[in-house]
Amino acid sequence: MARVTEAEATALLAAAQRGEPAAQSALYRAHRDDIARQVLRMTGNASIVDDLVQEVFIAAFGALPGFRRDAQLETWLYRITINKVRNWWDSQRRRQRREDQVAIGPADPVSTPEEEATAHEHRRRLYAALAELPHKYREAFTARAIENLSLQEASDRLGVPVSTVSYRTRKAEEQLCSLLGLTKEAGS
Amino acid sequence: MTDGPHRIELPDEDEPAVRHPGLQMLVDAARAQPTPRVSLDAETLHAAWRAHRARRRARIATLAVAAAVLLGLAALTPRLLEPTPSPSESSGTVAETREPAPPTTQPSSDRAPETTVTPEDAPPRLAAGVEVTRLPGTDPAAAVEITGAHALRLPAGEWSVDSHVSETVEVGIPDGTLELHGGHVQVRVAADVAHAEVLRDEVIHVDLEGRRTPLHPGAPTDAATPSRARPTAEALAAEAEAHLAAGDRAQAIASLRRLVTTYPRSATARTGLIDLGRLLEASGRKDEARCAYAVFLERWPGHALSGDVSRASTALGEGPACKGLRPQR
Repeated sequence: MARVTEAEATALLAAAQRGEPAAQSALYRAHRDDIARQVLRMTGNASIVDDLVQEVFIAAFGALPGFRRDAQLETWLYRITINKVRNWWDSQRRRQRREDQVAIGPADPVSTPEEEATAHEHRRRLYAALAELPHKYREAFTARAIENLSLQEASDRLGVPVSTVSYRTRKAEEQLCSLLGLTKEAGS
Repeated sequence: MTDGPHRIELPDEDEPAVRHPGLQMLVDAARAQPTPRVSLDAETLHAAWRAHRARRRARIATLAVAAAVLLGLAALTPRLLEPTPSPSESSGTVAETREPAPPTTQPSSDRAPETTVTPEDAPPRLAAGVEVTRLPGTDPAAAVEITGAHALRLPAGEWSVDSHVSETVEVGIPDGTLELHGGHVQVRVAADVAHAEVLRDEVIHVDLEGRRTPLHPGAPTDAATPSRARPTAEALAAEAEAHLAAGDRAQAIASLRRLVTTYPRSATARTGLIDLGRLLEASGRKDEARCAYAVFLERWPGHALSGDVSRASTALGEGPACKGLRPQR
């Protein structure tokens, strides 16, 4: 999407809030790639990106009239994304319990070059461990470590103080290392 | 608010997100994963949005019509609303007795709402062997939301959920989910809390944070599903957070006080106590802050943050002895 001025963006948002389809479409095109990337970083599962992007924007369109613009639209969408991803993790956990699976990871590729297979295995292990974390720890870790946001950026996105992000990230790392069998000695 | 302890010391802005090299390797792989191209176009999204809106409106219309029919029936034949045991049928039931539960059973043919329900939009039905019964005193218009063959959500009121199936039945309540593994439970649901009484077999309460607490017949369940008269610990923490966000520190302190006294041993109270101490300290109420820290240290002496709390308390200097959260003047 071509870069728009602040006034244009404000007008576009206002039109979208009034329910104008063209404005909603423009909003979608402007933000879908960011949301898709966030969904992927949060879940590690490329196969559900389309579905969750759709869910995020359907929820956003429904809630747009109530958007008070006291937060950045990006932050607001990010939080909707977090909620949708939480639901997805919950449904994964329920499915896992029902199916008594050992672990659920991203979809398996049929065959890949060795390097990609290794990277895939790393991702599978990481997201299987992330699945075991409380939502708040997982979200802080994803924002800081995988999305590579600064403490302040993660704080803004998650709506919690910087110190909370720091604490949750550290707790997440502790739990991940424990779940993954990564010893302190190896890390020191 | 629920992770307050760490707020005692500000983190270094440049602190690394990941410290362990082994974990960093996995994170690097996640970062390198290419983002797939979104194949959903704006038109498809809009079609989905319109369908979603239409389904929601249809559901509201169906509920309204069904509620009106139900109220009409209730006025004409009050005896219909007296509870009687419902026999097993070919599918699970949601009923008080023979009442036409609005969104989950077939609407009567001559009173069918005008909204067209296509097969793919048709509401799911409970599996055979799962029975939900409205208990006396519950609003007859209250409708159970069936979300799958083994999943439902209870509205306000008193309900009996009896499962005779081997699959897990998930019962949505305001403060989480009850999982029935062939069990029988009576649930009282208020606006945002629920109280569950297990009558048969084990039932598991899964709270909003995913914590699982087994409930047993005859065992008190208030710890897992607080009584309807009081909000949950999480709700109080959220309330405090909202007051703080609105700049109302006094109200935030009041909410946290309620949290840590109503749910003294909960994990939320643990962090809430430190938040309380921090807020009291920031308000210049140092003696009360010291008491909050003292209560934390007394309740969780070996906690990983007890060192930080102890230092924060020491920094406040000497003061009067505490009786619980209150300094003795």
